[in-house]
Amino acid sequence: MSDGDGMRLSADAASRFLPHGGTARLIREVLSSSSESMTCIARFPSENALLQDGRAASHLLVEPAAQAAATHLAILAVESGAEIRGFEGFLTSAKNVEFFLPDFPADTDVTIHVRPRGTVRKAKSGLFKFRFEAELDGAPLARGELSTYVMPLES
Amino acid sequence: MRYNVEEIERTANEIRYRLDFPATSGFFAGHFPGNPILPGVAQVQICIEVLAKSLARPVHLRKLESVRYRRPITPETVCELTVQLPDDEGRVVFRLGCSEGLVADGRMLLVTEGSDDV
Repeated sequence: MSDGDGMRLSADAASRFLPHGGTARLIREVLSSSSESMTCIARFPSENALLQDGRAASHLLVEPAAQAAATHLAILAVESGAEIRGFEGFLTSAKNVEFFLPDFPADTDVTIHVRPRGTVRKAKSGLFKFRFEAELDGAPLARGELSTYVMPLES
Repeated sequence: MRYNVEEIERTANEIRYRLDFPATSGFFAGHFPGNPILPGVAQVQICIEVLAKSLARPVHLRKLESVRYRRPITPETVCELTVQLPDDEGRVVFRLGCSEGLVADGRMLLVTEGSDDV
């Protein structure tokens, strides 16, 4: 699973780290991960109840960004030897999130970059702050900060 | 039905709504299996939807200045949402509460259809 750019995970492998099910599962693939950041692909299925008329409002990108943050923490925890299946995360805040387009189509691949604020030496239960950016075909969709409280999913 | 909403009071500066979330709401689908809670982004989505309906024009977010989530919303929870009407900059402040206390509050910048922003 690892290569020169850090861990890369398929949709199935990435989804194992999160408790989300069905259309709420938004992370499709982890493209790269290091101790400082993670980049992944997210996609809103058209059946997701948050969408309207087949489109996702850009403010909804806070959700896949939070899922990406929890995935990143899980990868760091597993790499440090923690015996967990993943993390259950609860969004606790979002701050200074700018949106550059009103919305985007469902079932479209969006690239999400997350970067923890401060060094995460060994992820465990607690509150973590992240910066995130979302892009569609290289153009910015959203950018801002979020915090999430995570708890381990036992193996 | 994702949620039920009723406008209960409107003043010159704000609107109050009663909200409830049926257990069958699609918002709970997959979030999380066996432990359903409303996604935080759904709360912002609802603010925008009800405000658009009350103002009778489309609105979308330009910036989420700050939102804090203080307690989860589970199926069948009844909430009260207070939304201050947009100021000259499009800034809106909202508070969402239930019988147990404050659920979430936030401040955001909206764009309404016809504006030159975004």
